[in-house]
Amino acid sequence: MMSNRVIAVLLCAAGFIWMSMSPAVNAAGNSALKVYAVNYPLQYMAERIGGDHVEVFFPAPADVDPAFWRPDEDTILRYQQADIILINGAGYSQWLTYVVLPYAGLVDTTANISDSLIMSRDARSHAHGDGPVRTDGDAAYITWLDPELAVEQARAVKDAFIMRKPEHEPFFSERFELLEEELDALDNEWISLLDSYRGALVPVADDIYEYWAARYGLNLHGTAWSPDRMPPDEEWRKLDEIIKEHPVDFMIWNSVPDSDVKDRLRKRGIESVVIQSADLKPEEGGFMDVMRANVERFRLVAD
Amino acid sequence: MGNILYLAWRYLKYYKGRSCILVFCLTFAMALPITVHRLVGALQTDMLQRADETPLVVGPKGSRFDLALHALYFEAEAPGIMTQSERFAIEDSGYAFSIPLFVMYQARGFPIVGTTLDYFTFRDIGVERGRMMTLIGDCVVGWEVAQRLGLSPGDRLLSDPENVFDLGGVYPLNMRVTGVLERNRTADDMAVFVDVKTSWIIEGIGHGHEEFYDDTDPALILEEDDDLVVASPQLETYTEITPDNIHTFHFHGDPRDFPLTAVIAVPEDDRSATLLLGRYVDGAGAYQALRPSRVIGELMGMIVQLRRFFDVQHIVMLGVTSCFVFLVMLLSTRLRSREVETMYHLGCSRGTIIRLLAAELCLVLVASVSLAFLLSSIVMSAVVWWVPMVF
Repeated sequence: MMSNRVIAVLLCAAGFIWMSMSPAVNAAGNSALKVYAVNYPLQYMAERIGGDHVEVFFPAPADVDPAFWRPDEDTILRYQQADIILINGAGYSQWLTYVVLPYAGLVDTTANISDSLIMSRDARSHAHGDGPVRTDGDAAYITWLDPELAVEQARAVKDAFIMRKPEHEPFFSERFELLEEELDALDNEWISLLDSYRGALVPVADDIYEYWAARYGLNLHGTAWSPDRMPPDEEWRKLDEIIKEHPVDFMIWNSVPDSDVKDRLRKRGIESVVIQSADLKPEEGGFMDVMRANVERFRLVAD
Repeated sequence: MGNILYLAWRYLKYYKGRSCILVFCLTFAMALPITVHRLVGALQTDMLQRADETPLVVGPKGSRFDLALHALYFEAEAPGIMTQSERFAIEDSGYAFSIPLFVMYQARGFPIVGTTLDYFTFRDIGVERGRMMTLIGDCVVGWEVAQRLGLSPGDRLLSDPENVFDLGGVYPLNMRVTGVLERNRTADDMAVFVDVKTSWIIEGIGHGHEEFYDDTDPALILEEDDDLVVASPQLETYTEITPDNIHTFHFHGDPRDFPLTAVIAVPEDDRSATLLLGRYVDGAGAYQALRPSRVIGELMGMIVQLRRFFDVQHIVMLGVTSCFVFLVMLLSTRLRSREVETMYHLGCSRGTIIRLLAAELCLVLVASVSLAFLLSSIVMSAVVWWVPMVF
């Protein structure tokens, strides 16, 4: 005869197997929405707004730019199983062109702000004979650096959650409003910091700042300088010519530039500021921490 | 009673030939109407079930029957081509979720259905072998297609060229079979499913080709400036999508203008369905919306009329056969007059003799009806096997 202990162990094992096979269940006992995002900012927004009612995944490896990531087929199958797939729109994630995803779960977070999208300056079109034209290149896609656009993307996330779980509307709305307040505060800080630079020429080492610059009235000058390599003299000469015509106070980088580069810029009266886009999850903190750190770094330079 | 049945059974067994002919005639006389009745009933149930499961279909104006049969069974040619903008308009209206269908091409005689993964959720079909398509150029095949073409996951399937004499036409696409769908005994078993983007690649709207570099053959560039490169139509495009070239695939033109042959609209409730139908009721636009259940119901009405005709014919035939059986029994009784007389002299009452003859007739009828139903079931199974998409 089976002892009570054996029965208890078997029951525990069965319970464990059942739990592991069941969809994720939150504290309230409801199954959580399975959400897949295509970048970290959307993952962050989903987690902030959805709380325990969502289970958010962003499976891109930590060392790959999610905009150019190519998910393998197993990962695509996992995306297909999601209740909601949050995409950035604006041509972000080229892989979406050639993968097969369910339309029902797809949420384009910039669909409602398509009028605000900026076409990439590198855009070039091609056609075959007299056939229709295809634009090679898309809109600029780091939309969330403009806090106003980030709010709209978060709103799209909230609306998608409410549509699938209308019973939790007050919960989602309340958490969205908190995030909105934080993004509004961030926007106000940028406005107060950048108001005096409106119309100024700002060299940038990356082409990810279009929306940020458009929001605060800055004129970008793309350089494509690498932060860890000294630019050739030709590039410095070009910069000097620009400085002669337009006063330049700072240059924007996506990561900390080499100290020699920083020094050479400082000799020209140009401070280096790192503004990160947070496509990938930071090692410490979250999306809003990265955004606030951007403001603080700029404040240090501006002061 | 048991004795009478035993005597009747022994009599029928003794006159094997005559009994078999009687059973044979009655079996076929009954099997035909029973089979037709069951076949039409099954057809009606099946067609109406699929139609009932499809709330609304939106498509180009033209024959309602063609549109319904096209969207439900991928059989009839669509009345025309619609653009994706209409699908987006349905979505934007908020009345319904839309599932696009683009059914223009075939692969080894089976229709290639360009749709989205939502179609499989909507029809509740899973993958029996392999897995769902993940990339453009992938396809999942219906159960019957896999059986007939001997396809398994990992095999390749070439789309049929539209016109073998049109050298400048659309090239066939070499597709990768990623899975075989569960059998659901509908038109889905007889179709090849691809993502709608893949069907547009077959249509020629999307394609992959080498990038334009400085070393691209100048003969392939007709015109070039900072904003636009016009390539020669002779620029080689890929006819097979591989991991190496998949990232070069792209679509030309405005997605709103991309073609569809029908859209399945899935409204949230009856009110939304009515409101969506109302958008098309004035008939002013280029599209129509219909409830497949009504259209197929009308079609079935015609089939029911036809079945009534058959039923009358079979009743007449059964009547004639019954008269024939009655005649046979009558003649048989006359032939057996000496036998009946002997039974009478042995002490059998007239009632017993009548019960004995009735028992023989009953045994013949029971055997005939049983065989008729058995035959009908065999025919039904054979039809289900040969015409799986109907049942």
